[in-house]
Amino acid sequence: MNTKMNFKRGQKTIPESENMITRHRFLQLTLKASAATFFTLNFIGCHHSPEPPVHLKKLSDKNYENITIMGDFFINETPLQNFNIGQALDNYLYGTHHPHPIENMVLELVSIPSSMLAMLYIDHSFTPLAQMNKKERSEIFLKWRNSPSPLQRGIYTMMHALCMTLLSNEEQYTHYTRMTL
Amino acid sequence: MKNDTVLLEQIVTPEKHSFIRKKENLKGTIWKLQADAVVIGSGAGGSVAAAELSAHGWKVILIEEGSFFNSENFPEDEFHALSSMYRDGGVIFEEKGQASILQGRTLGGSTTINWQASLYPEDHVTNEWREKFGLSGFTQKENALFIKQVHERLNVHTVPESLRNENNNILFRGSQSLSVKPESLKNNSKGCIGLGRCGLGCPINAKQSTFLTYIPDAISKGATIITNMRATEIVDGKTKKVKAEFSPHRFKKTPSDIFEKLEISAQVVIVSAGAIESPALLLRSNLGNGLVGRHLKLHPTQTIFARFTREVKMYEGVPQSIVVKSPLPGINGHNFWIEAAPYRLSLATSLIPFFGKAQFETLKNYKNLQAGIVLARDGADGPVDSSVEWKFGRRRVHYQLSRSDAQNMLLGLKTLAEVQTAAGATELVFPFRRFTRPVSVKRGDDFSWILSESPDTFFAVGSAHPHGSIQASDDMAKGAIDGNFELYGHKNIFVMDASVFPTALGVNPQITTMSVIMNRARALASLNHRDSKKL
Repeated sequence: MNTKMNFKRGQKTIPESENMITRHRFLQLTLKASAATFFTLNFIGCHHSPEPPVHLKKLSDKNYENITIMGDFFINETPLQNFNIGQALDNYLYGTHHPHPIENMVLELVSIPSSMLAMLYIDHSFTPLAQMNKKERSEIFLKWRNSPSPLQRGIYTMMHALCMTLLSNEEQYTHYTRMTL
Repeated sequence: MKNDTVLLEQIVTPEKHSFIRKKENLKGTIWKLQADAVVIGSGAGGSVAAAELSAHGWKVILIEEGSFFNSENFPEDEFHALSSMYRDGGVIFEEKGQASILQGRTLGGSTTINWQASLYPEDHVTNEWREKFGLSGFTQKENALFIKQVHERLNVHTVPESLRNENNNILFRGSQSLSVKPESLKNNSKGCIGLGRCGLGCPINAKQSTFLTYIPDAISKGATIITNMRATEIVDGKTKKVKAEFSPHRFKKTPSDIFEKLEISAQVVIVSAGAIESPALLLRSNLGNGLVGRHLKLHPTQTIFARFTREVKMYEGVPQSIVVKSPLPGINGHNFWIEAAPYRLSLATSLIPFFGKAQFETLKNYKNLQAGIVLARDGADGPVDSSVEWKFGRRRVHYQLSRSDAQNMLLGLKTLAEVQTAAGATELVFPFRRFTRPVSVKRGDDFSWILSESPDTFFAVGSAHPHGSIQASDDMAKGAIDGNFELYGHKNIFVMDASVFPTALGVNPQITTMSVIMNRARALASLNHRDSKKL
């Protein structure tokens, strides 16, 4: 099974043609670089965020709106009264003495709905989720859910996990599920 | 030996920094120490290595990134436990979201929060290590002395039938009625009363985690244990240097007077930070050959939740007491097992793959849900195409389920669905994306359709058993460490944790890690301590 191998660090398992870069690879790299730049420069967003109706510890208004967009799909028709997923995220990241250990990764994920470049990279579309109506967004999420693209499926899975984690921290959720302790 | 409680009081937590500073008359924020050996990590590998070396007269310093939790201060709820005692604040995500990994980040590592299943691989696995990687001495017979000593220290025993909960009983009854033979599991507890809080840390110290066993053993022989210090770099040289930085307790205010950095000079470094962080540490330190971080094995799992008309309360009782092994020969010795999973609400909510109304309806009456998991021994198609890398200042995990591993997983899911329906399940929650709600089922239903699903239809695979990312071999073209677990090209830097296994274990890794590491750590300790200048 394991023939002799002497990998050099960074060598890919699928070799690329020498001295050549395909157009697809070039586009992928360009978009990756742009997306990375965008994530670090949060202010380049293209959508004006309304004021959140709650006081936030540190979460930006834009990310409050972004997580609300995700919550609208993943936990719509929630039976929990007054559950505010934006406030839950703010508490999750900043409600303790020290921020969440993967704060930056969570914020990268949460920034996707308002990012045009992220949408371009993930979905080859110029329209950020934040600029779509609820029905259009649902169609995108459903497409990602069943997509042949591992990237789209993976982003869907991570968004799902984040929303469900925030939900499960709610005391009223334990009562709803009738879990007895 | 001193009382364990007295020994545990000697652990250097952040609250003690101020006292040490005054006692030692230290200035500044960097704490500098010297030792014969520094051990990085306190889980199944590091704690055993520290105990062995200390017992042979070495001056050992063990550092742990996580905080010291014990029965007096374990978090009361799942959310806080995941946030403070697990790596990445709960779940480590594969770079593209294809896998989610659970791993401890607390004193005792994953042994503090695991579900205790105590197993050792079958001989075909360890024979493979010898034949293909030149790694000998690890068949059940060859390693029997070390397995026995680990079993004795951890009180490994078969879970009595009286402690088998309904979550496991369902697997037992269902598989018996299908003529698939269930077997009882062993675990490592003493005085367990089935509180079912293993994943949050045992509140009555019944689970014999390393913070109750090998860490007190090491302290009793003079080892120093320092928590909340994350190793950032290893500098090689005749005398090695391990640099670490303060890693705060998330839910606790950091004391005003702490050492922000730690520097330990030692002749020997033992890397035991687990199969995810050990390669990340070596890579960011620019140590090792190109196989550091390669071929990470996950022992991937998929879950089927089953609804019953009666209460199951999967989260109560001993988590795992039954295993159902594949009745089929498997692919290249790679097979599946079925075990129960004692999910509490937060993990279950993330794993149920629905959204909106269907998600809420599925989780209502949670106590009527049972969870079975299929664990596949990965690597059926050859070396696992997965890795840990350190890139742009961040650790990244990549994992890809191979075609044959996925096939094993599907076979396991088919068997699990049959077992659950044979036990009376009325609905099943399958881990396939195309389902948006549970499927109604009854005894005798045909689940052959599962075999035609593809890996792309899986929701992310799960894992609590990452291993094999710095694999050992006597040939440096096949491994990153040699048969003594010494890093190729770097004398006296050793890897001693679950990273060392060259092929997948196919079993829950705690006992294997402890006994294999004890074997090699004892050899290192007894060979070198008499003349440490030779090191």
